Amino acid sequence: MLTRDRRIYPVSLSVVDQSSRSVQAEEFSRAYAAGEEDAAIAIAVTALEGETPFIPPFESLWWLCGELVARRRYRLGLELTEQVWKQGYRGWRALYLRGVFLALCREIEPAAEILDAARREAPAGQRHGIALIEARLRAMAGQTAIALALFDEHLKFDQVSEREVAAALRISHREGRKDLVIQWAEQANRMLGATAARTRLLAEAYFEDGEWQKARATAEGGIRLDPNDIVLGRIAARCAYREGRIAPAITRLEAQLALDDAWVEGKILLSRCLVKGGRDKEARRILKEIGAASEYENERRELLARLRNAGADDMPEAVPPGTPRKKRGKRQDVLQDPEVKKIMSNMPAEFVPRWTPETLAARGNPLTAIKRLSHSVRTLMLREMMARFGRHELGYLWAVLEPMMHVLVISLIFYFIRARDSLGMNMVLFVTTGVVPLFVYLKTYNQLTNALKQNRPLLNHSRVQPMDIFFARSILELFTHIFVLILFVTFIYVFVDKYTFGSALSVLVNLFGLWIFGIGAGLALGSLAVFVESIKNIMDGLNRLLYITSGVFFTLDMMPASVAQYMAYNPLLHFVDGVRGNFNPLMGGTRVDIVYAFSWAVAILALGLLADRALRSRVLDR
Amino acid sequence: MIHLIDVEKHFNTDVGVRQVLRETRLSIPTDKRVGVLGRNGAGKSTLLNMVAGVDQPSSGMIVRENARLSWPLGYAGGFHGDLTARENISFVARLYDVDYEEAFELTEDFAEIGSYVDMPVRTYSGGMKSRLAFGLSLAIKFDCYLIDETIGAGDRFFRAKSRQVFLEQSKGAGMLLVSHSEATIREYCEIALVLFDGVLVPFADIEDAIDFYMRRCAP
Repeated sequence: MLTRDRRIYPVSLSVVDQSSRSVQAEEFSRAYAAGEEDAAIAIAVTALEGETPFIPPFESLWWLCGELVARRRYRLGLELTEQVWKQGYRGWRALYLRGVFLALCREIEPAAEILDAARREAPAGQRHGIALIEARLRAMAGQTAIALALFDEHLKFDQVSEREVAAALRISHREGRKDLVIQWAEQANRMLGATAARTRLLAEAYFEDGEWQKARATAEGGIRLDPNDIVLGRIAARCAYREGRIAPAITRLEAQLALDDAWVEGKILLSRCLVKGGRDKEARRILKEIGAASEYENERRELLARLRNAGADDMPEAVPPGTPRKKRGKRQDVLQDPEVKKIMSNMPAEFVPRWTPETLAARGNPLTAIKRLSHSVRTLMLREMMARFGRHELGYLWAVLEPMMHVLVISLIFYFIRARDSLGMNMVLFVTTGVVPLFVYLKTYNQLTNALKQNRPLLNHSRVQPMDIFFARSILELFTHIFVLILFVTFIYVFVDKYTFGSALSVLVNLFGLWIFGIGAGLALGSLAVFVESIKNIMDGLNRLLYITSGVFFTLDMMPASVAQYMAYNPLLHFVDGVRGNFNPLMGGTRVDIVYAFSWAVAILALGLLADRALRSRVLDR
Repeated sequence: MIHLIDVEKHFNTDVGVRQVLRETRLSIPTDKRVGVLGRNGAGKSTLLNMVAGVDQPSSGMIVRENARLSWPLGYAGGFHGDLTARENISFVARLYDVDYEEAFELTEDFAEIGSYVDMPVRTYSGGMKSRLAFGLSLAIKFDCYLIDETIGAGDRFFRAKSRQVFLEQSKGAGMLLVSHSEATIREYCEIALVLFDGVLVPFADIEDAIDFYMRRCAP
């Protein structure tokens, strides 16, 4: 834009006080007006190098700056524009000239800022030119995003120069903006005529975008401009390979390799195509030619190994060119595979099924089964007990403390609501004979719902079977709570209140009922959780409800008949009442129906066993 | 012998049924060193788990006849974290009816866990746990060892030692080794099964098995 034409911009400006001009300025304008250009410039240079301010007439400014640029006197130009600036001339030209000189003096960022201001002031026709300079400065200053935006807005392909297009492409390429590269390179090729360099960028961008066909077409076009361009040739060859048609790919790769012998990647691609096309010999020759020291060594080895294997078996894996490749996805049935069929029909002696009816019958021998079971269950129980002792400071004591706390808290509640007299027996005994039996159910249930999941690793021991785990856990709970009950009621008998005790057998039978109820519920819920995990949460809620309604706080007989008739549906209540009846003959419970309760317990146990058997493999899978 | 009597295994997953083993009918000798070759995800470990008893067949059954089968060699998951090494060893010794003192000494001697024997196993580092597990596997004599991929535990030095001790100890015993590596199978096994698309293809010759594996199981 800075031209040496002195009459392009005949500026006349009244902003500046003409009288303040120096002697040198006078001389300069005289020389300038007379057309003595060399003299004028000499005057200007001397003046600018001197101390006094030098303001040339504005109409000569553009011309003078152009001359200074041509003479590479950038610092002087900067000085000049600064003085003009000080004189108060702030038009877009002054800004523009100052920006240009700042840029030429390598003050990139300030230059870009001033040019930005100049562009905003400038008439529409001038903006694009200024913007393009600014864009290149922005790119130099590392503000590539701004630069690209400026290019995007101001690249007018009917008026730009090759240099600007090249700069724009270089920047967008460096920034990985393939979209811009493609857009600009295409337009530039159309408007300005194709060049090899631009085509290279365009082809690369297409290639990186995975547009094999477009990339190849572009590259082929570029090769017509410059048949020896190696980059274009390689792109075209790679694309031919990627397009997946073997024959054209081989032709293209071979042509490129003829020019470009050092291209190892191409050789690898070519040998791949040759292997696919069944031309193993040629592939092997090329692979040997590459040698072991390239960065493609892994690929080379893999291909050689594939060639070796293909040579080893007699099934022709190689597909002649042109035949459609076997479709992937739909797999053939292995059992129908001729090779597998042959092996399976003639099993090696080592693997031939060897079991006899006796083998299987031996497993059913009840004596051995019980022996194994009891051994395993005893060992597991010991382990579980040891673990409970070791788990925290309280150890096994917790098994006693937990029901004790329940008893104490509930007794206190009874005490404070003055309900103790209406219970008909010692308050603590009443609560104990309610809480501990119910614990037999609750704890057994709890231990069994997650038994398999928690003890899955134990099944690695072939001597441990899932049933052993169930037995070990539930038996431990039963024994523990029988022990706790004995402990509590003995304590009460000795220290609190002498009572008449009924039948130990009756107590045990009722506890047993609660126990198998717990086993059944635990097994059932643990298994059914395979379908609905949240079923366990529902059961936990139900158990809390059962805690209230199962005789810890009342007996069936204490209820009015109208309510009792509904409460009696709860089988657990019958068991708890059954236990309690043995500690006070008057609590025997006229409404207790032990047969009903046991039918429930057995049914639940059956359900649990069924669910476990049906779903065990799926419980273990999860 | 381990009898696979019409054993079939699939998993019901959220994305559909995944067939791991098609109905299989064969016996695996427990007095030979048997390899199972298969690609990642072919179901080798599931097969081993079924033999050990952790996974259950979806149908059919597995019968282990007259064989003391080990747990998967070096498997540390079977320890109870709240128990000390001593207590865990005592449990396993009791389970397999072997002398506790002897098992304890052998394990302690091998596993190099020092004073930690009386700490709960949950406080152990991964390496200590696996050394303990491996030592315990060695302390008890088995007829057939189940091995998932690797023989050995811990760092490379310990691994070398454990491999050597194990091979010494297991002389004459059978093994069932599942691996994706044909080199491992070639090194340790006499006969092999290739798990190919849910089918156990039997081979009396290791090289045949490896050849089949390399050719047919390749993607």
